Amino acid sequence: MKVLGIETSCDETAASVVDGEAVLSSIVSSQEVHGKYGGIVPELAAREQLTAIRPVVRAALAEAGVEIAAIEGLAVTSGPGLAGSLAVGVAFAKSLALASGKPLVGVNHLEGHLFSVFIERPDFPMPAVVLIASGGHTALFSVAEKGKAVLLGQTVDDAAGEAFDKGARLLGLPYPGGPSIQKAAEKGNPKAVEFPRPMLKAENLEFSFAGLKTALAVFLQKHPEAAKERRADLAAAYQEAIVETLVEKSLSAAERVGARTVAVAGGVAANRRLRELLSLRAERKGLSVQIPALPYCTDNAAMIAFTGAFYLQLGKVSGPELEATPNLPLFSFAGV
Amino acid sequence: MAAATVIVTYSSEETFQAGKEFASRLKEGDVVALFGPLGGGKTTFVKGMAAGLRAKEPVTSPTFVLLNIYSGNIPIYHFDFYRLEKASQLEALNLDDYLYGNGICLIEWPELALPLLERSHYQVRFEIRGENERKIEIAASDKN
Repeated sequence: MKVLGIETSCDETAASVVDGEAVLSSIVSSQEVHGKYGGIVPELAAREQLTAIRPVVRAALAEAGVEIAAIEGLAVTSGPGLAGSLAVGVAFAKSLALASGKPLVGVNHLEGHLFSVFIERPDFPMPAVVLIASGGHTALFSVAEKGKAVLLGQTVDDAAGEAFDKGARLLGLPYPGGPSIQKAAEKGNPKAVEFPRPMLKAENLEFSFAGLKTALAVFLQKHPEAAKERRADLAAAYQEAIVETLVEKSLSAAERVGARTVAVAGGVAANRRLRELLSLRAERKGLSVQIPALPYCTDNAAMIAFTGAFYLQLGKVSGPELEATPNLPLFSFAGV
Repeated sequence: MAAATVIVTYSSEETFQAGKEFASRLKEGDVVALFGPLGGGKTTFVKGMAAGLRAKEPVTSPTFVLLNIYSGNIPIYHFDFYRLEKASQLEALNLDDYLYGNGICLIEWPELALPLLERSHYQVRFEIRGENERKIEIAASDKN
């Protein structure tokens, strides 16, 4: 089934064509404009998306070599995300569905990330524990099979990507914080400073990164010169604290639910140290590791088209009442 | 600006408790602006306030989504303008629909929104004094 997917939940404008489980094209137009603002600027994001969406959808169809007439269904991210941004994608997809007479299904952005781990490698051992770690979310799910996910725990304060962004700002490093901390950390010693691993000892599967950010802020207040002079060490130690927390919580979740695979999705999955440490520690426990290719970790429309194809094949279709839902709950999946 | 209350806390639990106690003063239509650096205790204080107001949902950082809504005794609107750079960016958020309305507005990184806070509101200022020590200053502002 050929499905066109559209994703505009945050600052990316993305479109993709999949044919069943094969990704035919995946176009992502990200906005350079946010870098200089140190973060995502909602008003700018929505305005840019309004201009970008038509060329991006056209490019996705052209690259796939598929005419709109040959598309059998549409999928669009309906939440969670920024209200203005989501509205652009949902309005576009609804109009296209109406004009072309194709069925449309709304997809939860988080479920898109959950499905992204199946792209290109649909056959890893199940059940799996999937960690979604991005700028806006940090959550662990137990996945028995596609479309059957249970939320195990999430962050009680900051998301992992947010911890990277705020840490970067404290250290005087550019946005987005994930890549810039990773780069600064290359020459640093992760053991130079001992930052807290919040909730690592806790019994539950929740995350907390606010305390880590505070520890860095307090450290820099005591040693103001360190932001420059010891930047590499601080970046390495800070990154290590985030990564180790993510890895250990995921492994403990896997143990608890008897998972055979640990998977990571979301933008933070692009972090090299996370990939390295997870592979190392999961192997020791005899667990398989599944991390999608980089273009499917960060926000993309292939995962939305992929998820949409799954639900459309089951006959799930959203009606014209489909709306952008910025605070769509993490566990409200399937036929949103 | 009326006389300020100053609280010094020595742990995040105490900051949480201070927020919870402060919440007992709040009523429908109140606006609380929370000032302070990263790691200053704002979100912890908000967690305490939300507990005091019997919020049903867990409080998380709204930095990414700009607004979290919790249903407590009355609606709680938890804003975070950390990412915003210009006051004009607030327009897209329809802040006016929430301010002085049917619930309580808690605003982290409120600097850009101050011109919109036309009526009186609370200003809570956080200062990092040491690893676990925070100074919290609460004042009622009668602006204009």
